[in-house]
Amino acid sequence: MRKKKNKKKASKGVVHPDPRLTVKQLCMKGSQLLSRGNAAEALSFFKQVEKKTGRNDEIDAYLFSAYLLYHKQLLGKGFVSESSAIKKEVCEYFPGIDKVSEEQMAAYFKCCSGEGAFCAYQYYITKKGLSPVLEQTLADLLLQKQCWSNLDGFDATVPLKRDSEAIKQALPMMEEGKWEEARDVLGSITRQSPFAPVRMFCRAMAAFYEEDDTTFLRAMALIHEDFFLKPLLDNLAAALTEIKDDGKRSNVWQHLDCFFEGPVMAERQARDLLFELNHKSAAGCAEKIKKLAASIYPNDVDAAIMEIISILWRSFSDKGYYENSLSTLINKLLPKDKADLMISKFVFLQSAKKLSDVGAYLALLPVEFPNRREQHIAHSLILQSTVSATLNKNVGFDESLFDGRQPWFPYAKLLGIQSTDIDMMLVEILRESIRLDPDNRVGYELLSRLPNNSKEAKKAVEEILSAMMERFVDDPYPCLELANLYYDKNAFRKAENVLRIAMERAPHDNRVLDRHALALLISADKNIRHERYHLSWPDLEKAQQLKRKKHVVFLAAKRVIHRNQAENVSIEKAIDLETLNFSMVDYLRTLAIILADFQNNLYKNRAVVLSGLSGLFKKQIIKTGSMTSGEIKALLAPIEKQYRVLLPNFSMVQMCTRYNPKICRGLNDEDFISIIDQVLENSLLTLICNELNCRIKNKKGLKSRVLEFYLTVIRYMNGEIIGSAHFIDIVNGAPASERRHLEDASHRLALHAHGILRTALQKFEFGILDPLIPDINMMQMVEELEKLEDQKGRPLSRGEVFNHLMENYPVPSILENDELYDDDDDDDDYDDDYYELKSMAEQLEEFIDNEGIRNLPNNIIKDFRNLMRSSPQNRRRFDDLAAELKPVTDQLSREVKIFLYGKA
Amino acid sequence: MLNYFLTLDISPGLSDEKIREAYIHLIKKHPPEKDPEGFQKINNAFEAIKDKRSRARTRIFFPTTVVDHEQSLMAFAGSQRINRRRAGLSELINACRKIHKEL
Repeated sequence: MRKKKNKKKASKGVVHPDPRLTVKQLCMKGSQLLSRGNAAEALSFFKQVEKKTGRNDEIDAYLFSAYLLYHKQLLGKGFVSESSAIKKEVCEYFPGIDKVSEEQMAAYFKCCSGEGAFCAYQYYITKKGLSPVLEQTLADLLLQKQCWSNLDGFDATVPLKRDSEAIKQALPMMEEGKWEEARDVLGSITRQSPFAPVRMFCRAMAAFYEEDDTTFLRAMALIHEDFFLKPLLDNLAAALTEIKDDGKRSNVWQHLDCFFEGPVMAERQARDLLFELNHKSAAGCAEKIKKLAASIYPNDVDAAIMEIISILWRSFSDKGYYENSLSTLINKLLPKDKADLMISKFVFLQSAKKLSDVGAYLALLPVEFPNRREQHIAHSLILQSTVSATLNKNVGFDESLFDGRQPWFPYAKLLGIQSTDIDMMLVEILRESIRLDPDNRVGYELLSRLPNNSKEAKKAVEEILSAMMERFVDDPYPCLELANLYYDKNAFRKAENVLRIAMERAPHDNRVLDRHALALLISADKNIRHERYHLSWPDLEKAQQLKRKKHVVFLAAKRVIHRNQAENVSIEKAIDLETLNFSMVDYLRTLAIILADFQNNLYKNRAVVLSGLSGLFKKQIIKTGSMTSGEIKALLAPIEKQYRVLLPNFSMVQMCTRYNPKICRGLNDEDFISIIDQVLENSLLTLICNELNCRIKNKKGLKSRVLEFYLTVIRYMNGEIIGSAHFIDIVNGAPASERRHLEDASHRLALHAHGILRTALQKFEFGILDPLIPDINMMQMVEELEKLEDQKGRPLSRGEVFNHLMENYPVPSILENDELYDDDDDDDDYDDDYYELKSMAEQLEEFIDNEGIRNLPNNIIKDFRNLMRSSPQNRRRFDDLAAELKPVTDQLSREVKIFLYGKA
Repeated sequence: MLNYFLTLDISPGLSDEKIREAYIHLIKKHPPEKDPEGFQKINNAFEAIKDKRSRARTRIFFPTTVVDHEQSLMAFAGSQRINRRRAGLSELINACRKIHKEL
């Protein structure tokens, strides 16, 4: 193989002239090679001739041509130093002006020294006259070498000399980059001048700096190819065209640093980085990120690195190598404090609801926000987003959060959590957020979405809204929210006062007008019930004038009742009068509201009116068969929270289903689920169960699974099923794509659930629904035992059942210490001996561990405690033990405290 | 975050007023009728950093707003304005010599 290659090489090598050839033959062969463009071989033939005959004009002409061509070829191939070496030979064999063409002469000028070229041209003029081509070459030389003295010997009429003055005048401007001025100075240069390309070059450069790329390209096209700056201009033109075409940058940009400021190659570096990332080479990414960052923003490379990592964060996570690779990469690229910050930030963003992650990020916030004010704003935003994420996902906190060993405890101050009240937790976090950034309106608005069931929470919300009212003096929002809060507390006077302020602040605001109309309705309602009809009618008239669509049904209902009570108009006639242009949905809702109002209040002629109304409503509600699913959904929708003042405990679904039990049949599955989500309550469980059972038949796939999930939750609420098996069957039976729908349904249903079920639905984990003791299915045993009968054939009472159960149940040995519970035994040692108590506490801790109760939610531990205390004998033992252990309660774990005392 | 500052051709740490000035200067240069894409980009950048609260929000939650990381990275790489730099004749001759050498 090697031999073959060598042969091939040999055959391709330079042909050496045959020494037997004559001079004539050598010259002929050399000329042939030269005409074919083979300068190197032609040279060897001519050299052979020179060797044989010595130098003469003919061989000099041959050698000059061959060297000139060879020089050009070497330069073309990029052999700059080699081609420069040839220049000497070109000059040496110059055969005289008569024997060379104009083109060769120009090439010769480029090879010889400046002075030599100008002398040669002077001689050329005397022999052959002026040559524009040669003058252009010399003009290039003048500009490159600045050898203006070489023109001294030229006649003033020679264009090169004639136009050189203008060039010399423009030269300082060109040197300073004032191309526009240079262009103006060179305006007198004609197209025929040897300096015409220079003038055109100045015009192109001026256009470039004026960002007129079209003129630049046009001027550039007029410059001949031999102009010495043409390659640079070609690159610039290519770069400008690239930007216009697709915005991407190729290699031409690397020679254009002189024309641009900024990261010229950044886009190319970014593409390289993405390529590296797509090929999962995290190590390679580090270097590329660093280079790209330095290129884009050299003033603060760390900031640029953080930006790049932030952009790439999701992609790392998506590619599944987030945990290790990203952390390693961040640690490699950034100083420790910034790396820790980035990592904790990404963990926070990944799970915004985890308090420990939020706390860890907050602790590092000064690194990201050194300015104190900005730090407060950022801190506030983070707390706010935590609350918002918790509310949006409906993933509540459970009481186990207050276990002292929880990882967020060290950050409690940063989180603003002061109490150990689960209801107050979100309010406290938000209160801290507002404290840090009191001008942040979103924080206040979020407050109204918080469940404020406890008295403390209501009080805190009231305080914050009052503060907001003072801070935002033109905003009616806090007044309206406060009014809602006061109406909720039946503090009507306070509500009316803040509403008055809201009216002063924004009399034309729709929210204020709505609330004002509602306040008038509430006032009218009170007056009708107190038979102050002279006051109720003006309120109703004013409410009517406000034309609030939202209240139209309630307004009509109140007007009907007023007409009936104050003006003795028959209820049917009053209804006809007030519901003249109503849609069927509004008409039925008005009827339902009037009916409920008469049922709740002791109006005049109540019985007669109720009888007539019931008949009318029953007659009309049957007509829902012709209504669309959307209309039925609108009909069944619960009344808004703000109307509860007018009709407490009113349920539209209950009212409608009482008169038409099959009304839900007209709803499609989506609307039915939406209605369940809005109105799920104990009194409707059986009805909803039946409807779900009907719908599940003949259905498959996602819809069926979601419906089954709803049914399972409702059956659990109804006490028909226990344990997690049904839930787990549905969840495990669903493909991964459907699990999200089930999880969403679970979160929605959690709003209506309580206790363990609520926790299970919130977390979408149903294992906790199983009985606590793995070996004994307690509830099942209870169920079975309840079926037993005593000797007289009576079913066992619940107490008897539990006594029976306790015989087989592992009671803590400490409870079996009869001595301890013997009332007569007054052993002082037990009371006084602290260490003995400690030992008892340890036994209880051990019991908690052995039974697997440790770390379970409070409510489950409470259930366990209730079960254990269900027998009177055990209850006494519990209470005595609890009393005994009082001196060491501070040393008991949360679980033992709940087990003994019912609370932590 | 940095991306938005570079889009507005300003350095981080400027006051709200200065940011606004830079924004107004740029939208005058890139009016929506002539350069809708550029205008949108400038507008988005301004909205993200116009005041302390916006800046804090952007800085914290920026990673979650990235939908297409490739597009975002390219946008960041191209966010630094590349300005045309005044070069004199000698500098251009030297640059041209470099090209000759590499050719």
